Amino acid sequence: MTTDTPDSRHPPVSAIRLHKRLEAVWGTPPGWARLSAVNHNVVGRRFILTAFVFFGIGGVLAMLIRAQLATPRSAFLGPEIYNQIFTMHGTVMMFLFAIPMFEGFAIYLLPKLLGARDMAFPRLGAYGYWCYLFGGSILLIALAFGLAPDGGWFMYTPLTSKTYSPGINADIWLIGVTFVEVSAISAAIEIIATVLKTRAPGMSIDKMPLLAWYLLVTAFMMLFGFPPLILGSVLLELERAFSLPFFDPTRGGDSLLWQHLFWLFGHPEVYIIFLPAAGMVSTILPTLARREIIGYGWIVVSVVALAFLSFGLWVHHMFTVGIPHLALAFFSSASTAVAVPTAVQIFAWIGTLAAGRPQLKLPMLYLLGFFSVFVIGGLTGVMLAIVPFNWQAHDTHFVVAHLHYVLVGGFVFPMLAAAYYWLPHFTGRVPRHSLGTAAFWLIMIGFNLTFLVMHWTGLLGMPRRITGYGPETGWEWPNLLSSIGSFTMAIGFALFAIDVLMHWRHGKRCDRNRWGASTLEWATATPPPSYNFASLPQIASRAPLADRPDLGNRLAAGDGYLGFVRHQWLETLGVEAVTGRVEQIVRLPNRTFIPLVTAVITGLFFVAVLFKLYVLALIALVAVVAAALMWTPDSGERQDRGALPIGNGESAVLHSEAASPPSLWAIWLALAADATAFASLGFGLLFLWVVAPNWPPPEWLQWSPLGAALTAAGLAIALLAANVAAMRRVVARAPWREALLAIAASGHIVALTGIGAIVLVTPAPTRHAYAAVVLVMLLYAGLHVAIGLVFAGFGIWRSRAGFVSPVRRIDLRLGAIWTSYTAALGAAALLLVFGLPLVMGTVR
Amino acid sequence: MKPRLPLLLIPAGFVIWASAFTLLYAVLSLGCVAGWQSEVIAGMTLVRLVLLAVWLVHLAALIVLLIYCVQLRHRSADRTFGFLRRAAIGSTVAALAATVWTGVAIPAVTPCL
Repeated sequence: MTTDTPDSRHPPVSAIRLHKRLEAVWGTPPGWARLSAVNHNVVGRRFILTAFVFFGIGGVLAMLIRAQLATPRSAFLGPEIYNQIFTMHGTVMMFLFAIPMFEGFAIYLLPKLLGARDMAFPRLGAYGYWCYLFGGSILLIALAFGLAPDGGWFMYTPLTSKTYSPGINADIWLIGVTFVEVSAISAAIEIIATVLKTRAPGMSIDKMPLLAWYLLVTAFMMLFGFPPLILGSVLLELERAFSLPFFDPTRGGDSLLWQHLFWLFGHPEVYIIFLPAAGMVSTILPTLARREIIGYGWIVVSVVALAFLSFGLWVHHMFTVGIPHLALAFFSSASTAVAVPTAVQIFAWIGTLAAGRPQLKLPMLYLLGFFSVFVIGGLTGVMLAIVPFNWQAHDTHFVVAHLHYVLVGGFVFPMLAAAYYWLPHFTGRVPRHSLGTAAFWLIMIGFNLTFLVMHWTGLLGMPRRITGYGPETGWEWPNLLSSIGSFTMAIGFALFAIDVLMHWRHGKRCDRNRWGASTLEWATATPPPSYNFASLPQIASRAPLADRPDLGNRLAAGDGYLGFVRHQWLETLGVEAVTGRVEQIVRLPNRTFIPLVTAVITGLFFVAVLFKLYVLALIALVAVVAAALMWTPDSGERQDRGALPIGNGESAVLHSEAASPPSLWAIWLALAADATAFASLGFGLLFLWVVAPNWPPPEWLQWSPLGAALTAAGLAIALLAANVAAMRRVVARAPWREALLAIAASGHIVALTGIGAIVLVTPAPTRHAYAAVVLVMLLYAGLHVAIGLVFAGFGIWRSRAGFVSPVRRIDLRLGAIWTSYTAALGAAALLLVFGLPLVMGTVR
Repeated sequence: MKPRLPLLLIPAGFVIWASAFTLLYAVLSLGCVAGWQSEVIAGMTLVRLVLLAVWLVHLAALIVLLIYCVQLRHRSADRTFGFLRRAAIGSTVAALAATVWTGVAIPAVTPCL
């Protein structure tokens, strides 16, 4: 075993030897072992490549759409196939290209930008990738078999309800997309914990690169934006599979509930896609303008403002559904207001260009394309935010043109710029500019020909999603031009792909820091080693490489923190979230097949649900929990180690002994997402109560004193016992803590019994939406109590296995947090199911 | 005086905006279902009155938050806290403007049509 510690008795090792030692620990060997990779370089590249493949597939689908619409009364595609193709185009581009592409860049770049060796939860990143790949594959296989979803990418009910979509197509969307969203939520948790906890020493929050701010805010948006859609998808699948009538107006449901839940996710989604791209603009542009970005603080504020405001716009997709005018005014005002923080960023970029000495390198060319296209998209967005105009243009090709200007302008162009900017980092080679320039002009001209004309097609009245049109409509020429433009654009993208391949195979080798950037990712070798930095830097400003151009070489020589290998551990540093002061050594897990195995079992669960094999689904669910427990032995310590040297004469404790390890952040973040899903369910109940037809229900939930008492008592016992068990003084006595955890487990069992008793008196859930929502709410609480039971058992096992001591209490603290949250959730569920009828009974 | 979690000051203003936005939408929906537009108090419908109250309470909360952020003292050497304070002031001003803009239609637009 090799152990180098910063000990003055040993001379420092050479950079080459240090590299070999680190690579032996951090690297991923070739062959089948690649499937066990958890390293962020590998996982990030996989995300990016897979997302690009999906982009190609989505692009081919777009060409089929344009081929169909190029001429009137086209017989190229039948309506059934055409519906599948436009649905899959949107689904693939939104869920399987845009989000995963940004996740890939985030996973690859973030640790390097922050001066870390990996993400906070490498296995979670790997698991997320496999979930994404498998979920996306379900959708693609369905497309190949002609079973793809065909209800539009936003799956409006009742079109997608069982009555009008009796086949498996809609189920495939619900299952496949939900599977992919597991990946998105896990990525969000990982990104937030990484940005806040695993930065280089000295990198206080005001010294973070802007891209880290953008990704931090975006990840928070994902955390709160995705749960409503996940919940909506679960409810719709329950309706389709078990006839629970959440969206059926004849039984107290309302199809508008789906629209609310979908767009509660769907509009923030646009900014979830745009913000990371804008972050890349804020990173690339100052480098190529050879000037520090103007208005760092204002950009941070504008990103936060944008994130919040983007959650207040969702109804502008529903302006025509019959909502009161004043409510429309609220949403219209937020929709117009969101342009202001966007403009702040655009002016900051323009100001930076004006004040700097910009170079028209290839990435800058794509940035200029981004500016022009995105600003036009933003302006048509403001038009559509105005209710009277929206009523005229709603569901026409004007909207299709607008959304493509925003999404292609706001995401694809910046990503192309990012690709050319960071390609030398990925490959250590210089791209061939001639092909990239030709690709730019083909994409730019093709795109504008396609979608600028489409604005007029929409204003001429052509609706979205129609299979064909007659020659008498006057839509013939604009559609033909759009189709010619789209094929031109496709040739441009093909040229881009060829350029990347050529550069990867034949590009000239280049030195570090190809663009003369000041951000830390360029301090690594190119292509980067698996561990990024042989030693970690001390950061003193926002431009570490501008301060010390030789920083990369010095870090490679071990002139920083953790410039050694200790016990074959994978180590990076954890800091205090605001100040960047060193807090802990984060010991990361090594490569393992467990994420892949867990993802396969998760996939089995989703496929079993898809084919209505519910017994198999339950078995798979238990297996997922078992697989998740297999992650844990590597993440703990069986002995107290105290402060360990980290170099530069400093020391820090391991994360297992730290007050605020990344896993603590992870559970809080996961619970925030969970609470959002539950709040969405509560909103659903209130919404149906207030708006849906056929209320009140034929039967209310009966008061169940036994059920309520058992639930409340069980939750209270579990809450008290789990929290006392995690106290430092109690942890010191093993029999006490284990006895308390056993009491917590008993409390959970009592609470489960209570919830079961209430479920037994719940009215038939297929008769009315009220009973269906109440049942789901109780089952939701029950699921959390069951997980609390697992946490209690897990705590006992960890305690007996030697992972727990007065300074290593994190496992018990996590259990206590979960149990406390479950108690709050249970109390909220009881209040809603029993208390709401008392309050709301008189409303309608 | 330094708050325990200074980072939370940046989103605090917009959390208040989000609360205002959610409550305005909820009160409008519930009020219209409950028939508050038919009840007139001091020449104004009950639903508009409650909406105005919700809006003004949130505006007041934002003004209080803004005063708090402005009054936060810090040593000039503590640049990180200085940055957070400035960002919090900027964010709160933006949230205040957004809340004014969100509710500006309350006195003017028919609530329940």
